[in-house]
Amino acid sequence: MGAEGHEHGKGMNVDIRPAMVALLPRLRAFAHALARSGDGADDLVQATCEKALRAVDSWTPGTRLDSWMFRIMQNHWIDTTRRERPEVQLDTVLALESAGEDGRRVVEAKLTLGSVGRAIEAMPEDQRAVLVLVCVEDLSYREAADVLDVPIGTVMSRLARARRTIFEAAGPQSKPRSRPGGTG
Amino acid sequence: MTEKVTDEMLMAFVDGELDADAADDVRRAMAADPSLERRADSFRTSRELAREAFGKVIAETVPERLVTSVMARGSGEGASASRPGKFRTAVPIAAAVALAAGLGGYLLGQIGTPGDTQILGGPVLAQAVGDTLSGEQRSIRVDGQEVSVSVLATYAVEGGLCRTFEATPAVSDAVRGVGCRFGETWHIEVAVAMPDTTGFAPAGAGGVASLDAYLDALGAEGPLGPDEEARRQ
Repeated sequence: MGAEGHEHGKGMNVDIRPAMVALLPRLRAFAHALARSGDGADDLVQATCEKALRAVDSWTPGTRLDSWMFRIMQNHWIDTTRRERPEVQLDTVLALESAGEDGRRVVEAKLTLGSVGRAIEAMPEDQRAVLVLVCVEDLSYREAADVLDVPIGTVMSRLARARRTIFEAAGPQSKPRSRPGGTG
Repeated sequence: MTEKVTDEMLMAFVDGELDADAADDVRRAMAADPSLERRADSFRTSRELAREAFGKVIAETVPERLVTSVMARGSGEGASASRPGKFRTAVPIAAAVALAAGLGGYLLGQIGTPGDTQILGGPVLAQAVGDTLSGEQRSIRVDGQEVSVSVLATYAVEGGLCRTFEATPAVSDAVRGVGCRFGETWHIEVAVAMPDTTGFAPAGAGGVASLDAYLDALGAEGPLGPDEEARRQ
């Protein structure tokens, strides 16, 4: 580290910063799955980018930059909330409840308003993280398992539960819009 | 199949996570039992619902402070002890914002897909883009793979020269991108998978249009004519 000429973000002479900037929307989506509030999510993204830039030499060109960064984000989130987690969750629950009582309070409408968005916000973080990694970020089960450092079976059971929850929350649903014949 | 088809198997089938044999088993079971199709549909629906719920977050313009926190790091200029010449200047913030806003969740973010970064991140492709004039094509070999490189157009930008190109590896999807020379060497600045590859909805056409936004932010005007291009080559 600190080798002469080695510049921030330029491990092995590959500058990952433009790619990282292009990843920001997807990083924000995963951050929102973890932190839920918009500001908290952006703070998490910023901290993740800073860590990733400092650790660029531990990224192997040829491997997925997005998965690598999701992993950094997940670990950072765990590190920073482990102490505070019970309080953080409680505050969020209270915020959601009081927003419900005062009909005019503007809830940060980051997710689709309505029952699906609420169901996603309310589900356990473990399920929400898997849901976003697989269904929004398009990671495979294996890739999601690597990001979260859990077995594939755990990914699948959390994912199935999360999806059943939002399907039920959506209420009487019509058929899915697209029907790609599930391939093997 | 004799075993019961579980929800998780149906989910894996819908997500394309089963191998061919297992997928065939599930298909046969579904043909025999219509309730399985209904359960599979619920997983297709929930996947779409999740994507829609987060679509707004993905489509939002990225706050500038995030872009700045990434791009404003490092000195941006300076000689490397291991490489002669200067590193190119840092990507202008305006260009970086155009990148983030337009490309959204597109495949660009996956620079690092096995094969792609070998091609996109290495010097061979960048140099090929630098050596090739607009309208021309050449084949290069990267890591044992044959890649066809076509240069589409060349632009004068603030502080350098840029080219739009298309790179088509023999065994993976084509990418379209922008390579630039700000100092002495060419670098691939940004690339998107071509629209017919899987990417985040809506269709990838927006990703390609964003390469234009990137060039605009760099101050590119029209493509250079052949004389002007030859002069700057």
